[in-house]
Amino acid sequence: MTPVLTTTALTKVYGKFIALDGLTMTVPRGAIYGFVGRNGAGKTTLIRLICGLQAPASGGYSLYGVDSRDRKIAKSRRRMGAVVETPSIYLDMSAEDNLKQQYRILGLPDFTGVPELLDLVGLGDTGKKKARSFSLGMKQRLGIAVALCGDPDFLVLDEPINGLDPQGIIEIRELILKLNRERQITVLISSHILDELSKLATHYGFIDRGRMVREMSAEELEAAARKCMRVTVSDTATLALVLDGMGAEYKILSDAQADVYARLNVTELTLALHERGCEVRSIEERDESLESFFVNLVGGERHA
Amino acid sequence: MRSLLSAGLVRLWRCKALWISCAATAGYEIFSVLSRWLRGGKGGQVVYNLDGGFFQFSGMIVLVSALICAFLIGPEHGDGTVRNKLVTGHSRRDIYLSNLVLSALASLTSCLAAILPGLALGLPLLGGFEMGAARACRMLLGICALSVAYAGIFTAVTVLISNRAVSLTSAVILALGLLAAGAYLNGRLTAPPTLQGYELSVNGQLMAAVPTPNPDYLPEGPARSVFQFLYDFLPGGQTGQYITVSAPRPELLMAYDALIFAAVTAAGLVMFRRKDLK
Repeated sequence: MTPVLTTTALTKVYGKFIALDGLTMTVPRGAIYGFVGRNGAGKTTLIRLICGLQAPASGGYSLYGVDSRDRKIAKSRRRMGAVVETPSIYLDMSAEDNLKQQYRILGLPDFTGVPELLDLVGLGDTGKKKARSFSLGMKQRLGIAVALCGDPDFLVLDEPINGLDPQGIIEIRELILKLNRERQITVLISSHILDELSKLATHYGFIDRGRMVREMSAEELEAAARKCMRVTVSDTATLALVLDGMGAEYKILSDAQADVYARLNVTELTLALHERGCEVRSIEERDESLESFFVNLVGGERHA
Repeated sequence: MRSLLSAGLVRLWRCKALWISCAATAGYEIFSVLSRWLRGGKGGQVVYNLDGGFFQFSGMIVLVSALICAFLIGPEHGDGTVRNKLVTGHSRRDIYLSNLVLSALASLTSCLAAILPGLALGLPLLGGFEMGAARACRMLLGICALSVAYAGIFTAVTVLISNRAVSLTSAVILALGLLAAGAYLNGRLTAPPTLQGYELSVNGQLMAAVPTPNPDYLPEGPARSVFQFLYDFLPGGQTGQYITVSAPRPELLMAYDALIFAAVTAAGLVMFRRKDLK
């Protein structure tokens, strides 16, 4: 199946600053693609390029298999919707009028889908209230509704939860999941709030300094982000002796704590430690967070 | 393009700047006609006709055009709604040209808002045009062409400057600059060759002094030709000529307007195509 988006050695330069440095990535159909990178990594630049707001310095991309240099790319773009940075809405218009305006821009014959769209994003009861008076979350949802006007099957969202309160974050998350599951919309979502992204994404692309560091599926990430047991004991020296005897991989964190990267029989471990006079105070299973995986991937000195 | 125009017309209809501008030009024209009619009715020596004040609204068109473009097109780029057009596959050329058509339409509407009530009131109250209907029509056509040229200029400014406040300020400053340039050129071209000074005699009587050469005077020659060309070519100069009803050849000014409109639009299109949008 042709991927929705493919970029090949995509490069964008602003003056002397290289914003994208030969970026290559693939967004499969039906995916929620989490585009992860710290601020200034090049996430928004990529989105601007694929939306046609800017032109690449070199390299290219294809939407639904149509090359960016092909004149048919404009037709391909009709199948996508996007919210780039801030929601693109007319502040002096109501939510309904904003959607009607986008319908006109798209040349759609009537406004029959407008009420349904407003309900979908939870703005069905805003009436004549101008978008200027909306909360940030409402503006964000209206921006998504505008992006959905042409019934796209590829939605690009640039940092959609930035600045939202916890309730707003949950609303946007549920909306994205709903769109993906019920309407089979492929979503490219950029964010540096990684834990939030991990609740949504089926695929990940990790970008740093304009380069794709790694692309992987959520399953691959789960496998790569190693699980471990955090063991708190009275003496980690004894614990180390026992673990060496069991052939387990571990990391001593302090005199009392260690992470064990192996699936061990807890009873056996506890008994072995007890025999050597070492007290087991607690054992907890831990997942490596997306944050720590990302930090390990791009280098610990910089953080997402 | 048709869908962009359709969406743009809805925005134009809701654009408060357009209706305020129309009210301002119409109000000025009505005031101008009524004040001349009232002064004429007092039986003074001066006979007031329609010619004198009718075309003065043209002085407002430059500012009106700047403000309408800034308030109509500025938010598209400032608030980022232009992205909705690009993302859904509209070309930059179509976006630019649709903005241009809307700006021109808005400028013409504000001209008509002055012309129609001016004629409706002026013809019965002040009589017809002394210059003749044909010349008056040429003058009005010239003003309409000038308003379209202004729309071309301010469309380019507001499309190419993304920051809403900066584009509004730039458009207004440019409008005032064009008017100032026109006034300066008019001042130089109408400067008399000599300046008449006066001196006070010993017995306190005011007497004419020997005239001194005027340094601003432009004698016939290449310099005067250049000033005359600029006065005809620049929109600010044309505005001055229409205000003072001194445009001898409106057709020539219309040709210059067409040239300015085409050149600015071509340059604007090229720059807009290359512009990195955010």
